[in-house]
Amino acid sequence: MNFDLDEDQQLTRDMIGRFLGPVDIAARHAMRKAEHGYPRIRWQQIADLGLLALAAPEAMGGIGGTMVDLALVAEALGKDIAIDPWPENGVLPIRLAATAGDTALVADLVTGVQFAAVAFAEPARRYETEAVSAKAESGHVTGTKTFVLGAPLADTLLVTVTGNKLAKIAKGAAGVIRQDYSVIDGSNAATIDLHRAPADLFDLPEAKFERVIGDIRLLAAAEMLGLGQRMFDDTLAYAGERQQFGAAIGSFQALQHRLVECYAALEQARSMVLRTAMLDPTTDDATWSRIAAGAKAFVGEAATRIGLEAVQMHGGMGQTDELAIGHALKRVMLLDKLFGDQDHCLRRFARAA
Amino acid sequence: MDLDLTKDELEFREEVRDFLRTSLPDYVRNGAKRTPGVFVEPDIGLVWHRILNDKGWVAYHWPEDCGGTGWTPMQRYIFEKECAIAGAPALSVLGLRLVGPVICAFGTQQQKDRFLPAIRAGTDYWCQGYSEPQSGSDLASLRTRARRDGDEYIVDGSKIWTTHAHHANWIFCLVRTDGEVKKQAGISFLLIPMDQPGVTVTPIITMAGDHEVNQVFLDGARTSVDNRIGEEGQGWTIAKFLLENERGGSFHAPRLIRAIDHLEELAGIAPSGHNGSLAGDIQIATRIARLRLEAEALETTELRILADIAKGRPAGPQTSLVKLISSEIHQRIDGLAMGLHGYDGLQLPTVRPLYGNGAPPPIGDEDAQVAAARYLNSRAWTVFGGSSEVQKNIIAKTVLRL
Repeated sequence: MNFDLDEDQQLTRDMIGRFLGPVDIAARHAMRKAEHGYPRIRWQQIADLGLLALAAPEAMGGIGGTMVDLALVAEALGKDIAIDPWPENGVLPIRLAATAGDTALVADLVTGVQFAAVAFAEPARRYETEAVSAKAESGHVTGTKTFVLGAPLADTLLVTVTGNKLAKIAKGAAGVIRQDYSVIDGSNAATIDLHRAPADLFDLPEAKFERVIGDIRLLAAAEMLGLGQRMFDDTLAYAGERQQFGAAIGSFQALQHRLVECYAALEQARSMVLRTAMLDPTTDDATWSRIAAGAKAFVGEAATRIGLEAVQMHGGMGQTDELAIGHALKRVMLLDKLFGDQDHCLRRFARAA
Repeated sequence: MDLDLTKDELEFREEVRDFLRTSLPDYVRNGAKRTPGVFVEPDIGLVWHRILNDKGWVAYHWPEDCGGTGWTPMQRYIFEKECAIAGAPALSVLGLRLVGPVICAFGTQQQKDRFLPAIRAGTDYWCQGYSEPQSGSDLASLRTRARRDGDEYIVDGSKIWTTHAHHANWIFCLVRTDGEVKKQAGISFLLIPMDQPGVTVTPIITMAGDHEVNQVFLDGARTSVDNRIGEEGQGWTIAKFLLENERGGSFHAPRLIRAIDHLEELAGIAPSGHNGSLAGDIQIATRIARLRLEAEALETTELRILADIAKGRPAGPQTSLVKLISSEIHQRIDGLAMGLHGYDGLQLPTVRPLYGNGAPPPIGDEDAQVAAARYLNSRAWTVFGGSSEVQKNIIAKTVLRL
C-alpha cells in the first residue's frame, strides 16, 4: 500500500502550479473577455505541458497516463481554479476519438492543433446520455443538442447520435446552427441544431461510452476536490485574519466546528477520489461507470457544502466576484452537474449496486 | 383560537385582489420575475411604488399620522399575501421599511415634513450606511466619524454593502460622534445627501454578475445638524429599532409559499429525461413537500407574532427567528429551482437586465435563465440584515438567556 506521489506525479503537479500561478481575479476577467470566453492560445500551452497527451493511449501517440495520473492533474487544476476546460474539452473528446479509433483526430487534439467540443446532452433529456433526437442518415446528422461546452471555440464537434454512433462534424459544416450562451463558470456553451449536417460516423458501443463517462465523472470529482481544498484553505486563512468583536472569527466555537466538518468532508472526498482512481485498471466498464458516478456524487456534495460554507463565513465579501472562492464555487456547480447531478449519480450507483 | 378571516377582512381581501388585477402592469410583474437579484431595480420597483402611492397604500405600515393606512396587522398580512400571489415586486425597503419608520418614531415634525412625503412619493431614493469594511457582524465597532462644524457635521469614513447607493440621493448613516464613551453610546444617526463632492460610490459586483451593492466613501461629506435623527449618542437605540424592522417588518411566508407553488408548477413541466416530468420524481417531490411544510409552519409563526403585535405585545427578538428560518428556506427554494432546470440551470448571462429588449434569448424554459444567478445572489439572505450567526447569537442571548 502506498499513497505517496511518485516523482513524475510530483513534477506534473508542480508544473501545473507554476503554469497557473496564484489566483488573479483581474486576469481571469481579462481571459474571459477573449473571443468565446477563452483564449485559444492558452489551450496550446495546455497541450505543450503534455496534459492532453496524458489522456491519450500510447498506441495513438499519447502518454497513456493512469487514472491516478489524470486525477492528480484535475485536482491540481481545481486547486488553482484553472479556467481551462480540461476534462470536458480535453480528456472527453480525446477519449471518445480514441475509442472511435480516429488516430488522426487524437493526434490533432493531443497537440492542440484542434479544439473539440462534445455534444452529448439533448433538450428535455435532463442528464440521460443515450441519444434520442440526433440521428444519422447516409452520412448526415439531424437533431438538437444542448449544453455543448466549448462549442463556440470548437474546430470539431463530436456528436452522439442514435444507434450508439458518434458523429464528427467539422467547423463551418453546412446545416449547423449554433446558439451560444454563457455558463456559470464563465465559459461559453451552445445549443446546436443540426439539419442534415455532413459527418463522419463511428461506432460508440454503449459500454465504451459509459467507460469514458466514468472517466469524466471521476475527473470532475478530482477537480472538485482541488476546488474544495482551495475554498477550505482560503476560508481557514480568513477565519484566522478577520477580526470581529475583538477577536479572530476563527476563535468562535460556532465557526470552529463548522470548519472541522468541512475538513472532515474534504478528507473523505480525497479518500474517495484516490480510492476510485486506483480501482480503475481492475474494473470492468459497467462497474467503472457506476463507482465513478458514486464518487462524483459524494465529492460533489462535499465540495458544494464547503463552497457554501466558504461563502457564508466570508460574509459580505463572500458574495462578491472579487474573491477566489466564488469563482471556485461556480466551477463546482458546473462539475457537480456534468454527466449527472448528485441525485442522478447516486441513483446510478445505487441501481447497479 | 381561530384562523378565520372576519367578514370585513374578506371584503378587504377582495378589494386588494381587484386592485392588483387592474393596477399591476404586466411588465412590472415580468420584470420582477426576471430579476435575479434580491432587490428589483428602480425602473421596475418605482413604477409599482408610485402606483401604490397613488392608491394611498404605499406606506401602509406607517403610523396613520405619518401617512399610514391604519390597517390592522391582519389587513397588512392580507395585503402582502395578495401581492405575493399576484407576483408584485417587493419594493425597496430602504425608505419605506427602514428609514421611514425611524423618522416616524424618532424624527422631529420638521424632519417628518421634509422626508416622509418624498419617501411615499418615491422622489427620494434611500440607501443604508450601516456596515463598514471592518465592521460587519460587529456593527457597534463602526469607525466612520462625524464632527461638528457650526451648523453642519463633517463625515469621514466608508460604508459597504450599500444596496442601490448608485440610485440613491440620500443615505442614512450610523456614525461615531463620540470616541470617548462605550462604543454603542458614541453612535449617532445622520441623514446625508449623496449629491456632493464628499460622497463617492464604487460598485461591488456579486458572484452572479449583478450590481446591487456598493462601497460608499465619505471624505469630508457634509450634512446639516438638522439631519440628525434623535440626539447625539442615540444612534444605537435607533439602529436596533431599524434592524428589528428590517428583520421582521414584513412577512416572508407568503412569498415563500408562492415560490414553492411555482416550484411545483416547474416540476410539472421539467422533463425527467426518461419518464414524464420531474413531478413524478419522488426525491424532488418530497423535497418540495418538506419546504412547503416549513413555509406553512413559518406562516403560522408569523401569524402568531402578528397576533402578539395586535394585542400590544412587542415582537422584539422573535423577528430574528423569522429572519433565520426564512433566509434558509429562500436559499433552498432557489437551489431546488436551479436543480429542476438540469443543464439549462447552468446558464449565467452576463448582461442585465434580463427583461426588456436587451436580454439574450433563454436556453430552455425562460425561468432557467435567471436560476443560477438567483441561486448565487440568494447566498446573501443569510448575511444581510445580520447574518444567521448573528441572529442565533441574539436568540441565544435574549430569548434563551444563555
